Amino acid sequence: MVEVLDNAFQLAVLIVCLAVSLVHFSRGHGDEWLMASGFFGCYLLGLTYWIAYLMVFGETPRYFYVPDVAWAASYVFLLMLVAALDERRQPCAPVPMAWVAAAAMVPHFALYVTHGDVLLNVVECSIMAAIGYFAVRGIASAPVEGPEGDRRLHAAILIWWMAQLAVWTTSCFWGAVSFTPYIASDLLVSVSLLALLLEMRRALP
Amino acid sequence: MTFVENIFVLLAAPLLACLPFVKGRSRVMAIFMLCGMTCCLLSAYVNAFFIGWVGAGEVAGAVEVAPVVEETIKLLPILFYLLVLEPQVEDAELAIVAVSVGFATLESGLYLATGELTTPALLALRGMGTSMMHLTTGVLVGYGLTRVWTRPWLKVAGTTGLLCLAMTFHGLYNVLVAAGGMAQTMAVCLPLLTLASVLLMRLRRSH
Repeated sequence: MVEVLDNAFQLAVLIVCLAVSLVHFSRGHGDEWLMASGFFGCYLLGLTYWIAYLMVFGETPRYFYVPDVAWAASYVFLLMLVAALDERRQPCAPVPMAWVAAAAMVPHFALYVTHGDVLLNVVECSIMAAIGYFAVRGIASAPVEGPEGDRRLHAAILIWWMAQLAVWTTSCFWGAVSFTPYIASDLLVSVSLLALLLEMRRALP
Repeated sequence: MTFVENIFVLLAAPLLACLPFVKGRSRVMAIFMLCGMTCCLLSAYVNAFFIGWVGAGEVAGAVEVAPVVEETIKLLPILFYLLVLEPQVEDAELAIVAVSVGFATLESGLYLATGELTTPALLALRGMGTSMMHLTTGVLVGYGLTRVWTRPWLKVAGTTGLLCLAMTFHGLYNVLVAAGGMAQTMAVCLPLLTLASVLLMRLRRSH
């Protein structure tokens, strides 16, 4: 029951996020909104496939994890978005903390690879390392004076990034049978997605 | 020669024969429809190989293996076109849609030849559902590709992301079809609604 509520909440959040992103993109507010739509859309598709498969077959996919492919795609779109934001800013000095964020993925990878597929973990952890790098770099290099929208957007991305890592890590130790840390971190992902959308509306043209 | 190749030859022959008589975008359309049909034929072999290799059943093969194989093979002629011939955006979009139409045409031909499409409901599912699903993934990938190929650093990441998007959309459609009943109706609506949204968005952006 807890898992159903958690999935339903995340589904609702993602539908709202996708709809808002698509409306912004269709009004000609820039390609950043197309990447945001790709991020929310792929995340939504992966979750929908996951729920549909569970409902129809009563188990998770056995031969090929199509939802993981969708989630990997959504991380790619988010990476494209943070890289595009980085490209439009003035060049800045190297940010050592950004490399620390990227390197933090190594112990995570070591844990995940003992619980899952090697190739998938290599792909997903590499993309997440790059997202973490750009998010911290964005927080450090966004201009202090003037509107701080860009900095807060990067902070929202970093919060989502940490919540997503928390989901992966807790899923190694807890299931979704009751209100476990896994469910709590999944709820945090849903809330951080909403925060991300709000910050995007503030920061993006 | 086996069954699949017979239908491929019958459907592809008129398209092949018309090539010397058409020019410009019509020729691009005909060539990529042929490519789409060839992709469908290749997918049949590759699907059968992977399903046998992993030991998946008919349903698991359709919902887990087929989306990955078919969408990857559908993208190959487009990647060749974009990388080698560097076409204009309009030509690239046309090519992507033509590959999807060609793929869906041969696949529908194969289903028709099996004699399983006996009721109007099954015909509607095949025509309005699966064919539209192939067109939708083509339109989504095409629309995305023409945007991500404008920036060099976006090419690889964007193309991979769009391929994954197409695979999951295809997979979700197949899961809903496999569920039957109300889910099957939802499966038919999914590509139609997506196509309508894309059309609406393009109209809004063009004004």
